Amino acid sequence: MYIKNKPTLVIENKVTYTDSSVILPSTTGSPVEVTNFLKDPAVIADAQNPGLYFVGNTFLKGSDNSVPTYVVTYEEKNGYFNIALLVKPFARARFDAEKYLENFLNIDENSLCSLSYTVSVPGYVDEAASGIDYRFSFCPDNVPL
Amino acid sequence: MTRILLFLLFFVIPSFVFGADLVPCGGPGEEACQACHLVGLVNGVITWLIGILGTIAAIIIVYAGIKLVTSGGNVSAKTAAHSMMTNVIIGFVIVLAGWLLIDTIMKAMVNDDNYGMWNVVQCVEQPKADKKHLVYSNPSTALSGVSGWGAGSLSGSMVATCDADGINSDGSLNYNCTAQVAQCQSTASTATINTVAGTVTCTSSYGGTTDSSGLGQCNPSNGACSVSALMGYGLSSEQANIMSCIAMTESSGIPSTPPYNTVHPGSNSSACGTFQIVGTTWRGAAAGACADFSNCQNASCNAQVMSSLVQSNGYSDWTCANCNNKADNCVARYSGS
Repeated sequence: MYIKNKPTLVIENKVTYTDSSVILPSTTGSPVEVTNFLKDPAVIADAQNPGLYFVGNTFLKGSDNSVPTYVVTYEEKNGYFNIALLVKPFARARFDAEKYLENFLNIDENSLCSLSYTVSVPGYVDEAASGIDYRFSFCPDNVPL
Repeated sequence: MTRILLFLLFFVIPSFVFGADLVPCGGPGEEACQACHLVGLVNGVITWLIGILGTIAAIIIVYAGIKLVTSGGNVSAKTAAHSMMTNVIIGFVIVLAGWLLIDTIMKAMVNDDNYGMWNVVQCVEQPKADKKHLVYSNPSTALSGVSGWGAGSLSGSMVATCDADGINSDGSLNYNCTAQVAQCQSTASTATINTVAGTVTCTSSYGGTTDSSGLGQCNPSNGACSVSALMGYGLSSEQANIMSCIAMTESSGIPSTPPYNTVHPGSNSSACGTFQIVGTTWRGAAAGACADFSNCQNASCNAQVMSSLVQSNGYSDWTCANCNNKADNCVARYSGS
């Protein structure tokens, strides 16, 4: 059986930061300009990995001892968002993460789709669902959950 | 008695033979025969024999009953009929007890509550080797002659200029590369955008990011586990491809993933960081500034320890039993890349 490769997209340009804005590279070639969210007090720098930020939840449990449904990390150098879904149902967790990022970055769905990002499930949460980039549910390349 | 047995031999038994359906395959509307069906044949013969013996036993019991009733005062005939009936019943009980004995022993050996009766044989189609060939894309062939595309500096690559899409506030041109990216990706290749130069470089790719199982690798922008990042830790191209895939399955490629038992108290797993390395394994492989397990969430340390483990043990720390069932798929998928 022959499998055709899935095309890969690499964004060569790095992200640009100003005091007030962040210009994120995008897969369409048109950069996406957003408010400099790294200045948001809710964003937590990863102490062990300089340049990595928790922009949506951390792995820590909440005050009610609940596990966050998702974690969003951001890589300053490459303008890359990594979203890990931590609680079933994963479709709901993905939806929550999408809505959060849409509001947090204040951009529309098309712009979100063009960012450099991954949506996946870690193996320690659910091995069967792990290893797949599910993408955002409203993007053309999404994988149903 | 002889006449009865001859009657059974010539009239009753053949009718069972035709109805027994001893060969459960190869007939019209049946699946093709395989080795498993030989067991089914033996099983069918045993079931058929039990059926025949039951019929014979019933007939002999009836015959003995008739002899008993018609024996009158003949004590020896009465005793013979009684003995015949008793022996038939004992014999048939032994046959059935043998069946039950085998059933009990096999259930005890298999130790599975879902195991059915031993004489129910189900033949299932055995999995066939399904060799998958990943295809190298070749943009220099696929995009040759396509308007806007010319040979790139890398071997086999092609380059196209993006469409101008207005002027930025600093006076530079803004580009829209959507069409060029789509053209490149339609050839199953890797498109690399440079928004400053306004170009898309299309290079051949091996494997891509997903196959029919959807198994992928860390994003090329993920500094903790992209293929290029891992090659920076001394892995070969093949090792980096495999470990990038394994990192995706382990931690979603997030280096800050804390030791499992710190978030889930009571668990005995300390799996931590990008490659989910446990404390005991870490301490056996880590050195220098990374030696302490408290560095397991550091992307660089986690990758260094992973690299050391791969060089010494191959992928066995991830492909071991009950470790990561998808790691084997990663190894199979990216071997040779």
